[in-house]
Amino acid sequence: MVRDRTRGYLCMVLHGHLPFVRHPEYPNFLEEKWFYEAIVETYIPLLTVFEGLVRDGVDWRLTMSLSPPLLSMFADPLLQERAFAHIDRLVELSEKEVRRTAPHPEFQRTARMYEAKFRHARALFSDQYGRNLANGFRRFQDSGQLEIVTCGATHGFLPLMETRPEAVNAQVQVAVDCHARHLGRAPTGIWLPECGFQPGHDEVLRRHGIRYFFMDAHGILLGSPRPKYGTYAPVFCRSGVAAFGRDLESSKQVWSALEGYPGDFEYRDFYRDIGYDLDEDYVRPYINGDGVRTFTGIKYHRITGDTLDKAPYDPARAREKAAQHAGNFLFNRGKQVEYLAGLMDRKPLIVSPYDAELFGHWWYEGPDWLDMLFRKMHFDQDIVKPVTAREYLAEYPVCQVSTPSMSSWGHKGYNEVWLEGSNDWIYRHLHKAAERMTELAGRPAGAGGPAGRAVRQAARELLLAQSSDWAFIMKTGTHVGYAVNRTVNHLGRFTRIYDEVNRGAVDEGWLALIEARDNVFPEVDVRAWSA
Amino acid sequence: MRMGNVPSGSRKRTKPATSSADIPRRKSPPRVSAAPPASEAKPRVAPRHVNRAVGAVTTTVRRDSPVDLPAARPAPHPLAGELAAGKKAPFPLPPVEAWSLPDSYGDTRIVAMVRDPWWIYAYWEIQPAKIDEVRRKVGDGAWRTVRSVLRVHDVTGVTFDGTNARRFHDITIEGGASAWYVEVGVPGRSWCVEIGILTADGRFFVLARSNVVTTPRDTVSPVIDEEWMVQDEVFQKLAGVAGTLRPGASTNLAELMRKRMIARMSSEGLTSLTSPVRRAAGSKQP
Repeated sequence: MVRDRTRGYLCMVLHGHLPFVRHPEYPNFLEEKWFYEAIVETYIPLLTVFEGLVRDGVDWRLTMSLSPPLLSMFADPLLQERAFAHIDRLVELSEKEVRRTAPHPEFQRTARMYEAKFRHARALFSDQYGRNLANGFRRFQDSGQLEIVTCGATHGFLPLMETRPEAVNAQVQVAVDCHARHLGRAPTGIWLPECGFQPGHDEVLRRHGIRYFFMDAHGILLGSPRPKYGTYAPVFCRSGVAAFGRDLESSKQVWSALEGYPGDFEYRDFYRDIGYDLDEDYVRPYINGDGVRTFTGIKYHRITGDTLDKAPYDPARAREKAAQHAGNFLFNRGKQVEYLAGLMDRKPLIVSPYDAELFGHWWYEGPDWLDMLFRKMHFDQDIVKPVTAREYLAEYPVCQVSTPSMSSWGHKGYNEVWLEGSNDWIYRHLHKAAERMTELAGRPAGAGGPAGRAVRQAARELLLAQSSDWAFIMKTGTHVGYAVNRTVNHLGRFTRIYDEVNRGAVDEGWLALIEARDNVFPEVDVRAWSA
Repeated sequence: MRMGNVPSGSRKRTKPATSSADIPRRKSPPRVSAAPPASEAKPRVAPRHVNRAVGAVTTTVRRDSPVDLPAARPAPHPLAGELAAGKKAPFPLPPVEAWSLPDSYGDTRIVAMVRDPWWIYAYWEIQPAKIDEVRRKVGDGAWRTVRSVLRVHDVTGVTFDGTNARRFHDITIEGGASAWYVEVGVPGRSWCVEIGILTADGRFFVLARSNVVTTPRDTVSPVIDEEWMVQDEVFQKLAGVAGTLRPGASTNLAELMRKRMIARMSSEGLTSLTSPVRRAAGSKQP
């Protein structure tokens, strides 16, 4: 009999989300590229890592949130078609690049890497998963290694909806419905949008079958009563829903701009891209289609240092570095759990959450790092074991009851990122629309008739307006016009529907156009707003 | 307590979207896109969230009103012109529509929101009829010297009925603002904000009363559950602040934790869509 030498657990969490961006009214749309890039650089590489782990018999555990907008975009035929065309163009461009770089072996090896990766991506996307990557994630969910949790219906920042509890309810309820529809089972956990927690919202989660959520460290540490294990074990809210706190030490090793792994000089530089470096005529078909230069995803340099004189990227050396960093991360987690185990009367749990797009998109070698981390954890040691939140709760069903503190994982830890000079103007309109939505949801409208359709579309417009992404983009100052537009347009469409329904004069022609454009949540249940 | 003004001037941002100093926070560089008509082409101002009390609209409605009134007619959204002038022909569906948001919904209400342990935010909308009502009570003579104020009540632990606040303070509203940041300064307490008319002789007439909000604590809870006791020393280690306290100084645990946590939150607070990798100094690229 083998003695269990596990001293502690590691719960790796990747938060997968993009705002719902889909513009059938334009053949090319800059902001739609966020989704195509995420597919090629993050989601396909992650699925490829998962396949390799399963193939090689690694016992791994990863928790991912797949936000309802992301799942909806995965499943959308128009975006699937455009994503496929995007990948196809990348294959073509990488083939040209292999020829163009022939005289320069130090660049051609990287061109060959892209060619192989893009071809693989095309096959995986199209042949293996039928162009819907949700099928891929579902496969690993069903085989038990991947725990998929939900998020707000459109990533609405819940603490700033405090005066409209029906809006909070709808963000959770619509998310749970969407998750079940795309992934075949109801979620038991949630990644609160931006980790925004307001005491009392746990009761809403409980109502919809959610048993746990994640939050930032200070939300747990400042909870009351004082949490005995700090962030190294979950607490139960009074509702019985468990709260898991982010570990700051492990976060810092990856996230930190100063000391984090992604800034290593061997890693690929994000900013040098042939979309900017090469002759415009050559790259035009692969950028935005209208001559505006954008990233193509083909980059040939490593970070090199704090210099503009970048050295050629070496994929083999970068991969070696990712392996070293995975080893370093695991070594530190081993030391950490041994230290913590001495302070606790149960096995400590380290929760390490990251944005999914850090892996692959921002940090190109991130998926390799994750791959190595799970392999090393499985083969090289038995001190730290990967676990899901659900498994930890199964081992320790009795936890301290404590009310976590209002918090978020945004800059300064509270609500300021989404409530400041650039974006505070949106809330009076969002709150009013939520109030009106509750009014619409309470009307005895025939569900199948135009009024019923109109009310469901009003729900979609409200949800889309509520994405925290818009407030965030307004604050950060890039793509501001787009974020303002989205907010104003969805609110404008909402208000027109509200007025038309009240007048009993729904313009069905216009409604059909809007239904075709803002087609998220086809089966949205408007009763979510009257709960 | 200090108050945070929300002068309309400071809200107008005219920062050009394309700047060599810009760090791309999103996936695409901050470049102009011709495809979406209202993308980053021009410098622009943020939409107004403050009624234009200073401007002509309000003052022509009632020159002597101390309280900002809703604009008499809806103002076009700042981007409306650009949207209407859509640069691209429609593809399968009509081009972007030119929506605008109303200045008023015809309500008389004030809504409070929490920004962080030390600040709250309130926005409001007051109908002229409500102001007329108060004006009649105040009388024309006294009206000339009234101020419009936000009365910020500390209602921690009480069911507020308008008279039983633990304490309150007033903030004079200037410039026809319809929103304000209030530095309450004390974490872990409950607040209710009234907007009203304060006469020179100290009478206060409420126009609207807000919801109650509770600011989060910024220190470790003093409440210990005896079933889940933990020594201060162990808790410090778990919270990552061990070794920084001198022996016998454990009473400062809360303060130390507060400082450490604020430092961490400010320096490490990372949210989605940001790159963890620094760019090289002087980089010319987007």
